[in-house]
Order: sequence, then structure tokens, then C-alpha cells
Amino acid sequence: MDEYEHVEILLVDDSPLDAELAIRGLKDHNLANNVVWVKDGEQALDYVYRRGQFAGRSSAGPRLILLDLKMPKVDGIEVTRTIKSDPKLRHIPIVIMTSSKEERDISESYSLGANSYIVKPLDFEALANVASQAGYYWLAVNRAPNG
Amino acid sequence: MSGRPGNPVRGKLLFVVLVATSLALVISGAAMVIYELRDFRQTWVDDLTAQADVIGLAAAPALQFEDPDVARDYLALLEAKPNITGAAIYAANGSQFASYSASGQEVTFPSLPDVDGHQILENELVLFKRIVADDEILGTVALRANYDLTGRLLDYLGMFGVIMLLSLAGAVLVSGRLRSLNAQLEDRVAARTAQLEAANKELESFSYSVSHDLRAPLRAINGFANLLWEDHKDRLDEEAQRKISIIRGQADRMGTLIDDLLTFSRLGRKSIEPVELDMKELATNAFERLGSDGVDGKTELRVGKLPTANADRNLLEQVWSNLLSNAVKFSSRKEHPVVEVGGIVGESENVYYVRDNGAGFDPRYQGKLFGVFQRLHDESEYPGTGVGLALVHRIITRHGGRVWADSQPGDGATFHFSLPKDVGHG
Repeated sequence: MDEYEHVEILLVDDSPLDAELAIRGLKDHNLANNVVWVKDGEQALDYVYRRGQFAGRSSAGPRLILLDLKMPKVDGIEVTRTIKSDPKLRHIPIVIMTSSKEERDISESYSLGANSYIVKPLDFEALANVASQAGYYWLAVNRAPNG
Repeated sequence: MSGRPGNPVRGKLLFVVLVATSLALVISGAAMVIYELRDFRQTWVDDLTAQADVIGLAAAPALQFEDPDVARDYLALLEAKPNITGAAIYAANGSQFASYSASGQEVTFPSLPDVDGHQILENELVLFKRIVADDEILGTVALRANYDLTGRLLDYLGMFGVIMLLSLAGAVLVSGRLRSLNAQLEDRVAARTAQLEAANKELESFSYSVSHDLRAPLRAINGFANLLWEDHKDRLDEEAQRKISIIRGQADRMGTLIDDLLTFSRLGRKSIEPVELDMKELATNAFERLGSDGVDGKTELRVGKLPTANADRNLLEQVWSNLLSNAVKFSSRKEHPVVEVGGIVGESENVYYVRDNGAGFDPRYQGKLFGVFQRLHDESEYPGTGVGLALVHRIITRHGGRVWADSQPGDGATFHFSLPKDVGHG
């Protein structure tokens, strides 16, 4: 389908193993084609602002950010704060992924404007709900039956 | 933090000491002055009356023998009483018989009254006293004495001022000592609080780190074991599949253990917010939730009388849910599992209980029942991490209550917990 071509997910996670599992999960749900994986918050901000190694990228988006909280250099809280306080970027849905339901993580990410909060490993049901609430029905549509 | 100027507690302490001292002095001083002033006139009157009696007694013969010189000599003895400014002896007919003046100037007296008595003229007290001998009135003694109320009041105020100053000086000295003691105490409290806060913070960052860092490798173990299963299942023989499923199962179990341990550790730091709780509602809701969590519905719940409690809702929900899930779990092998809840209203505390007809436990191991990760049954028979009862114990203890259990193996178990009627601490 047409919209699928534009799907672009920015996956921000410093753990290659977690990233591999997440990408694998996205792939199982036919969503891996346009996933870009960056390793920390600094790279994530470089990506959305098209600077540094991403200065020349042509594609629009990303249309969804999957963001780890605990990362070296710039952490997930900082990335959320920057994106959500930028009028040009704040429409991009941010889904925080983290290891636990620590209250302070949850409350902090929500207070900064994160759209949702998912405990790893990624629950695709929850992810699809977030995406469809943001108007992105492609994620729900493309949910593979196997899970 | 030591020796801060304007320390609120220290300042308050000094203030309180000074105010209390001053107040006590003012009240006692005022009471004393009021009493004294009331007493002053009566004392004077009594004193002068006695004086007049003595003079009258002594002057009676002089009156009888009409010898005013003798009477005058007696009156002259009043020199010893500087407060008495003048005196006179009147004969029975009312004429002045003899007189005395402290200053040497003539002293006047008001006209003689018909009876004994006294009156106050400006700053002086005038007293008349009959001289009586053998029931015959021989004459009258009149005394005039200083009655200086203002001077007296000023004397009192002066004395009071001195006492006040001395006491306040003493209070300042004492409170100085108190302040330094208090400062030491405050410093110690501050140091302890800082230590506790640091320990608490450390514990918090420890549990935060546990929940994040310990879970990351676990997630990889579980995730990649899953991938191995999904991607290579066909190439794995039965034994390899069995081993992978063990890895996955144990990784899951470790995740649960971490969760339970974190819940347990957070419990020590969470503050208790006591509210009035309908324990019947709490218990039945907890039981129904167990049913929706996949526990088969064959267990019968019998709800007896359950007095309301004053406790933290969230924490008590955990207590009921742990005790009930335990009861259901350990009676699950019975043909007709029955779980019974009830309570007894006590004088200062209410006691609640959860009774089952399940496996029970050996009372010899009762002491181990409420320890973390303590299990009295085989994991394969009755699965669990062994945190539930430790959690119950911690919650109830933090509410100021007690937990205990009694049982015989195979005979079911009863878990009791008590909650004080007023939970004021947390």
C-alpha cells in the first residue's frame, strides 16, 4: 500500500542486542523496511535535524520514534524534551522503550510529552495502539498475525 | 550544617525559655503584689491596734492618776516606730491628755469617733482604740501612721524588676547552655538524616539499576532463545528444544524474581496513607481478580464478618491478594477447595484471617514462613517466588500490626493479621 512506502521509524537504542530484537520484531510485523537505527540520543537529534552524518538525507520523517531512555551522551529524556519543544518536530509521535515500569521514568517521559511508554521487549499490540492513536493506521494494518 | 545563625529551632527554644520565664515571673509577681496590697492595710491596722492596746494598758494608770507626763513618756517610746508619725491619748471626756509627734510639730487628729476604728487620710492611717480597764472606758489612744501605698507599690515594682532581671539573666545563661546542647543534637539529627537520605538514595539507585541493567542481559537471553526457537526449530531435536524451553522458562522466572524483589524493596520506602477501608470489599475484589488472572474458579470463598480498617488502600490490596492467592494455590489440589475470610474486633486492634483447607505447613518451620525467598513447598508442586508472605509481613508491620499463622500439614492453614485501630505512623 501507498502509505507503507513512507513509513519511517527511527529506532534509538544503545544496545545492539535490544536493537536487533526490536528490528526483528518490526520485521515480523512487516515494518522493518524503513527502520533507521541510531545508537544514542546525539545521533537521533542529528538525524531529525539532518546534521552531522545525516546532513544529506533526503527522506522526510521520521514518522515515529522508538526511543530508549538510558543511553550514553544524550539520553532519551533529553531527546524527548528537545523534539517536543520544537514546533516543527513536536508532531512526531515518540514511544519510550525502557526496561522497567519505574515510576520516575514513566512520569518524566509523560511530563515531557512522550506519546506512550512501552516496556521492553516491544509489545507490538501496544505499539500499534499508540501509532493508530497518532493517526498512523499502517502500523495496525500491517500487524502480522503470528506475533 | 552546624552553628547556622538564625537557626529556627534554636531561636525558638530561646524565645520559649524567655517567654516562659518572664510569664511565670509576671504572674507570680502580680499575684504577690495583689495579695500584699490587700494584706498591707489589715496588717497595719492589726499592728497599730496592738500598739494602741499596749499604750493604752501602760497609760491607764497615768489616766487614772491624771499624770500626763507619765503618759507622754510612754508615747515618747514610739520613737522606736518611725512609721508612726503621731499619737495622742484622750481622756474619757474627749480632751487631749497627752500627745506625741515624731517630727516635733503638732499632730492633729480628726474628731474622736464613738467606737474603735480606723480611717485613711491621704497617705496616713489613723486609728482609734479605747482604753478600757475593769469595764470602764478611761480614754482613747489615737495613732497616726504612714500609709504610703504608692511608695510601697514602687518598692514592690523595684524589687520585682530586680528579680525579673536576675531571672532573665539566669534564663539566658541556661538557655545558652541548652542551645549549645540543642545545636549538638540538631547537628547529630542532620548528620543522621543526611546518612539516611544517602542510604535511601543509594538503595533507590540500586533498585533502579537492578531493574534496568539486570534486565538487559535477561532480555537478550530470553529474546535470542526465542529467536533460536523460531528460526531453527526445525533443525533442533527434541532434547535441544527441551533445553531451550528451560532457558526461556528460567529467564522468565528470573524476570519475575526481579520484579518481586523490587516491589518488596520499594515497599520500605513508600509512605503509608491510612484511610478507612471496607475490608469486605477489598477481600472479595482481590479474590475476584485472582479468578480473572487465570486461577480456576473451583475455589469457594466464604466471607465472614470483616471489620473496617484504617490503613493504606494500595498496600492492603496487596495483603489480601497475596494471602488469598496463597490460600487458593495451596488448596488447589483439594477436591472442594474452600477459602474463608473473617475478622474479629478487638479493643485496640482488629484481627483478620484467611483460612484454607489446603496443604498446610509443618508448624516447625513457622519462623521461616515470612522470610524473603523462603519456601516451604516444592516449587514444582506449588510455584512461586517466596516473596508474597514477606511482602504481607512487611506491609502489616509497617502499619503497626502483626502477622502469624497456624497449621498442621494436610490440614489447611490459617493466616492472621492484626491492624491497630489508629494507624498514626508510616
